[in-house]
Amino acid sequence: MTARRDVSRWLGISLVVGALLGTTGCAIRSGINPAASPVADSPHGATVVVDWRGPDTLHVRDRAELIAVADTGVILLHDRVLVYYPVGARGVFRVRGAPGVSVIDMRDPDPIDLVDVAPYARHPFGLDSGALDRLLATLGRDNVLVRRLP
Amino acid sequence: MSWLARILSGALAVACAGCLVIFQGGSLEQSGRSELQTPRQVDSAMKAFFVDGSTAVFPSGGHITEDSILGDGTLYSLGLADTTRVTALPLDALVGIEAFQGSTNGPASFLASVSLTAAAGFGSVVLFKALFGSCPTFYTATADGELLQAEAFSYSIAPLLEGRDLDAITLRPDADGVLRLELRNEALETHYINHLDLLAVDHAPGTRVIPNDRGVPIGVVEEVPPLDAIDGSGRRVLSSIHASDDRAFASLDERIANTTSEDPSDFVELTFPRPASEDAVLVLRVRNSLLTTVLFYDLMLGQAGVGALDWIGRDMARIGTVVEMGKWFQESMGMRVEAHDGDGWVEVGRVPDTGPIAWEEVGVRVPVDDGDVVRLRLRFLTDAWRIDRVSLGKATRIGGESRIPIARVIDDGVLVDDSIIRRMAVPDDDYLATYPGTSVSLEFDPTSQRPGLERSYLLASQGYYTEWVRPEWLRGAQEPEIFRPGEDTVEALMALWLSKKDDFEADFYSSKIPVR
Repeated sequence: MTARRDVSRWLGISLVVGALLGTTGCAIRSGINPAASPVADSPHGATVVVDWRGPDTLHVRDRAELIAVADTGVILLHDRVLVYYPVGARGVFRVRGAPGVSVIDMRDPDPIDLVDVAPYARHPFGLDSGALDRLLATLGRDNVLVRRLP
Repeated sequence: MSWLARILSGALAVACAGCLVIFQGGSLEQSGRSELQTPRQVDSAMKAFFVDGSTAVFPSGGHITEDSILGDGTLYSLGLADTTRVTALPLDALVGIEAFQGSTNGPASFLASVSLTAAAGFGSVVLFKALFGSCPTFYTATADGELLQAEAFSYSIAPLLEGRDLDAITLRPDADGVLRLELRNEALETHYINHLDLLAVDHAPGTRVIPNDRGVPIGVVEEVPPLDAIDGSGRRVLSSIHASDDRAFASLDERIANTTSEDPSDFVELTFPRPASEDAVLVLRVRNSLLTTVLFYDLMLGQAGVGALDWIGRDMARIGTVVEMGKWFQESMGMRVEAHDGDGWVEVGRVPDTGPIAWEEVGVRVPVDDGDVVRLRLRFLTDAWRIDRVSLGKATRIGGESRIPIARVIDDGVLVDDSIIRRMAVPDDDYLATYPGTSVSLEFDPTSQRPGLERSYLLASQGYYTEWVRPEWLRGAQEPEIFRPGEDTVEALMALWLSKKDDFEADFYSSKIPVR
C-alpha cells in the first residue's frame, strides 16, 4: 500500500496531533480511575461497542477492540478483521473502560475526545507499516476493511 | 489510501508529543521514549510498547533504569499470539510507556461525555430544552397529518429492566395495501429495540380489542360510562373521564401538597350500573402524568449529578439495585384497580405505568357482585396519572390473533438491509439501536382477513432505553448522591412536582428532538 510510505502526511498529521496533545496536556477531565480500566493490566485495547450505520443500512451493533486512533479515524479489530472508521463515518463508539471519554460519534468527533481515548488502544503509540503488515498476517488478512462514508 | 498513513502517523504522534494526560481522581501518564525520565519507580500497572509492535504488561509496575525496564511482566507479541514471562526488557526498541495511576474514583461512567457529543450533534439550545423522552414513539400518516399511535416499553431504563409492551393502535392498509408505521426516537435517549411486530385480531363488528393489564389482547363490547366519579379530594370528576376528548382527570394541587409517604395516594371512585354478567371489563384510556418523568430526571438523575453516570452505567446493571428499584416501583407506581365487595375495597388488578406521551387503552377484568351498581376505585400515587376515559363493558371472545412481522424498513426513502429487520424479528440478544433524530418507516404486509369480521391491530414491542445525561444534571448537583428510594422520597417528589409541573408539562411536549 502506497499510503504506508506517505511520509509527508505522516509528518503533517503528527504535528497536528502533537499540537493537540500539547494544548491538552495535563488537562483535567472528569472520569474514572484509569487504574480501574481493564486496559491497565491487559495487552488488549479498550472494548468498543460500535453502532454503525452505512450508506444503505440502519444501525448495526458490533463489539470490537480499539487498536489505534488518530485524528483522521479509528482502527478497530472485529472478528479478526481490522476495520477502519474514517472521521465522517456514521458510527458511534461506546468505549468501555476509557476514563473521560466514552462515546465518540465519528460523524463529527471532538478531536480532543480522540486524543483522550487513544491511550486506551491496543497500540496507543501506533504501528509502523511493517508492524501493520505483520499484524494483518497474524490475522490471516492482507488488508484493512474501510467503512465507507455515507 | 492516505488514511492509513495518517492513522499510523497520528497514533505515533502521541509518542512524539510525550504528553501527560491527567484524569480527575487518577492519572494516566503516557511518555514517549525521548521524554522518559530515568531512573523511575512505577507502583501502578504499566505497559511498554515496542517498535516491533510487541507489548509488555507489568500489572504491579516496575523500575525503569537508563537502559531497561525491570519488573514482573508478560511480553505479548504483535497479534498477542505469543507470550513470554519477563523480568527485564531493554529500552533500545521502546516506543513508549503508559502508567495507570490509581486513586479514589469509582468505576466506569459510560455516559461521561454523551452530553458533549449530543451538544455537538444537536446544538446547545435544543439540548438544554430536551425534556421529551421515555421511549420510542410510533406514528401513522392520516389525511389530517401524522397521528401518534403508541410509545413502547416506557420506563425500561436499563437492560435489566427490558420490558414487553402491547399497544392497541389504529392502522389501515394504505392505497398500496401496505401497513405503515413510523418509528421515531424524539428524545435524548438511545433506544434498544429487541422485538417488534403487529398482532392482527379478527373479531365481530363493534368489539373493542385492547390489551389487558397483563398484556394479553381481550375483546370488549357493550361499554357504558360511569354514573358517578368522585376523586380523593371529594370532587365530582365525571365530566373529565366521560369521553375520549383529552379533557383528563388530574389531581388537585392541594392534594399533591398534602401527599405524604404515609398517605401517598389519590383515587377516583367510580359507580357503574350493574351489568347482567358476573364479571365485566373496566376499560381505561390513560397515560402517566410527567410526575414519573420528574422523578426520573430530577430525583434519580439530576440530583445524583455526576453520580447519575454511575447509577445508570453501573448500579442499574446490578440485579440487586434493579430488584430494589423494581420493588419500590411496584409498591409506589402503577394504577391499582379495586372493587368494593360490600365490606371493603379489594385489589383486583394493577395497570403498569404506560408512559407520559401516548394515550393507552387497557382493560381490567373486575368482579360483579349483587346490587344495583358496581363500585370500583382507581388508586395511584397522587397526580401520577391522567385519566381521559373510563367505561365498563362485557368481555367477549375474540378469534386467535396472527402475528405480522416487519416486511421492510425504509430509511429516508431507501430500503435498508434485511439484517435490520432480523434484529427486531425475535426477542434475542440482537438489538436495533436508534439515536435521537431517528425516523424510519416500518412496512408490514397484512395477512388475509376472515370474511364478515373486522380487524384490529396491536403493536407488540420489547426493548429498553438509556437516558442521555444532560449537562445541567452534571452541573446542577451540589452534593451528588446516588438515588435510593426511601421514606422521604414521596415528600421530595411531590414538593418538586408541585413547583415545576405547569412549566414542565408545557416544555416537555414542545421539546421533541426533530427527526429527519
